[in-house]
Amino acid sequence: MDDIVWDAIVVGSGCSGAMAAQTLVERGLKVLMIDGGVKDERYKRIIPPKDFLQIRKEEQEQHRFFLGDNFEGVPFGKIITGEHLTPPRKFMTAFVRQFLPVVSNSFIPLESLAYGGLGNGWGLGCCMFSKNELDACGLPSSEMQNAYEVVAKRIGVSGAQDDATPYTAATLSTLQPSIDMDSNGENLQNNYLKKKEHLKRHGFFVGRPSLALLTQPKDNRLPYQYRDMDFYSDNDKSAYRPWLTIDQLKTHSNFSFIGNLCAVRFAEDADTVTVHSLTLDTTESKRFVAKKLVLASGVLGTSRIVLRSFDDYENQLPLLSNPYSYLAGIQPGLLGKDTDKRKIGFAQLSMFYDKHGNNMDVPMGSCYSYRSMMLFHLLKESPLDVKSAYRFLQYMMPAFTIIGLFHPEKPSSGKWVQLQKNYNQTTGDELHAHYTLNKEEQAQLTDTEKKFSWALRQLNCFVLKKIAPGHGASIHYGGTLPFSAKNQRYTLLPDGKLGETKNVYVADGSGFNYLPGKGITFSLMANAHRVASGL
Amino acid sequence: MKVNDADLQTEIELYTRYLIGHSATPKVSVLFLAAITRRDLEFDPRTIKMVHLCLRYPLLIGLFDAATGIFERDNEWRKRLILAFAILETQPEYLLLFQPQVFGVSDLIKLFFNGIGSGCRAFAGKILLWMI
Repeated sequence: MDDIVWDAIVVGSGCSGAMAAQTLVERGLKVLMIDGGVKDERYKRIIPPKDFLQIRKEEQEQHRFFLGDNFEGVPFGKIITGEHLTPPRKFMTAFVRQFLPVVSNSFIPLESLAYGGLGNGWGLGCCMFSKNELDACGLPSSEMQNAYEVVAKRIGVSGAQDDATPYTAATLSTLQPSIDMDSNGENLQNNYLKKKEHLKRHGFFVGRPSLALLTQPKDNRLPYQYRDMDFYSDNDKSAYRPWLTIDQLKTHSNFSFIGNLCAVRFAEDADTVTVHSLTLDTTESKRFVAKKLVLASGVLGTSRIVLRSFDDYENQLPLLSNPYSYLAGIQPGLLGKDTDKRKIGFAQLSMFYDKHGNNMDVPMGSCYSYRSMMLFHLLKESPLDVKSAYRFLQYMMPAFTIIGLFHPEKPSSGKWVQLQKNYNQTTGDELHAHYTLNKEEQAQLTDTEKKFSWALRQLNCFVLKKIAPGHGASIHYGGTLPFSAKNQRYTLLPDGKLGETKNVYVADGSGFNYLPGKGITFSLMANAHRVASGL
Repeated sequence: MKVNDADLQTEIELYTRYLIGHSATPKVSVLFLAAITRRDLEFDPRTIKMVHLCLRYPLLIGLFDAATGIFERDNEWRKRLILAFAILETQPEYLLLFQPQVFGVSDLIKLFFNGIGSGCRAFAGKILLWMI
């Protein structure tokens, strides 16, 4: 296989890589995907296709996947990036410390060498960026509109048209009906309907999120089964995961996949690109040759590969990462009530704060119930003894609402990454990251959190605690190789080609000059399709 | 120094009785032993002292629990108690004890007095922790 000259090599099997590869394969190119390819071999087989409560009632071995074989699912200490991953999802971070080391005291990112990448833990929120946002990102809006439709047709998106439609993906032509809500979501929505004119006057719009989650059958995937095991397994395949695409691509004769690899650098000659990689298990060197290279290894992964390829251990690349916080609230009307039978782990409502009414710089709050998580997750946060906290939490649980708050992100000077040599590391280097918000950005964040707390109070949901898991926790990164019209190093041309290269393209979020507060994954996929279409 | 296996079995039995008012099943004991080793909660001398005190005077568990919950939330002994709780929560036979409950007024009053009691126990426990 080493002697083959591929039409294109795609590095990375996450959301961007999967979409880019599918587009290239559909165009008839001979495509090789190289990837870490790490899979969960431990828990997948022991999680039965039953609902959360049934499992809790019947499964003697449930402690294995709820707590983990090493009890790693019981959280101690401060909440940091990746802490929320349940034991069956922890495989996403296997080999990361060894092959993707990050040094930072201000930024804790999450990266993955898993089969399907970070897409294994995607919350499934699909938002289409507005024209203003696309312009700020450096993305061509007409191409992106088409790309959104293509991606939605491939992955399946459900949602509903309501007040949040301008901010979600509810105008897609292939939209499936929205999932049902539980009493928690319904209560919030009913309160919004009573006060929506008041909230809208203050810039708040609430509605059903568009999700990459099926409510009708598609291909070999089932509609959502309301099992509430969304944090643990993908048994019914209703939730889109990039490995679904890769599995399907493997049936095509012009697609090959090689796992157990971490791409480290590329080198170009007149007509071809050589990709050098290391095997994860033995760190043996492997090389592959293609006419075109598509980097989709995540923003930080791509930065490493590009800097290493230019042998640059000095320059700093700019970094964007959506600031992120959780608001933990309760709806007093649901305190001590019985929980209903509908069980949903994904976001049920989205809140958007469009202060200026121009669909730009819009922070997003995603509202979740707290039903399929176990009480022990909350104990360490409670300022009570375990015994009292446990009774108290039983009372509170039906009323718990968690709001994940994403803030928009613009470039500023205190955020960068730089590759530095360190021969003790497997790759001979490590990525140093620095991330600080300036005073203005910090003030904006605080103000937004206050505004959301106010809006939630209008919905009879009272914020008890704000949890800041630290910079990098949004797992939305971008801006390291910003889009530019000029062909210069460390920028991307509008078609995704890496400046000063002949045949290297970047299909992940590295080029985004701005990160809207709305979820970016759907736009990453649309951009990956767009880049691959123009190759 | 660490807690021996026999004492660990007594320890989880005491925690189980304290938390849910039941006896620990053999499976719970086995899981607790494994959890303490795998989460590396074996060797902190102050924790070992607290465990030994709990073994001799089980009533102290409530005081330590309240004090660490308010004043020392990262205390290693508290982590042992949370591990015990997590293990119990994943046992099908105890499921009903961990499900959300429909609360009446009397339950709320009980909860309120529990809270007050917990505050008092926390201060008594804090004095003990200071002495250890």
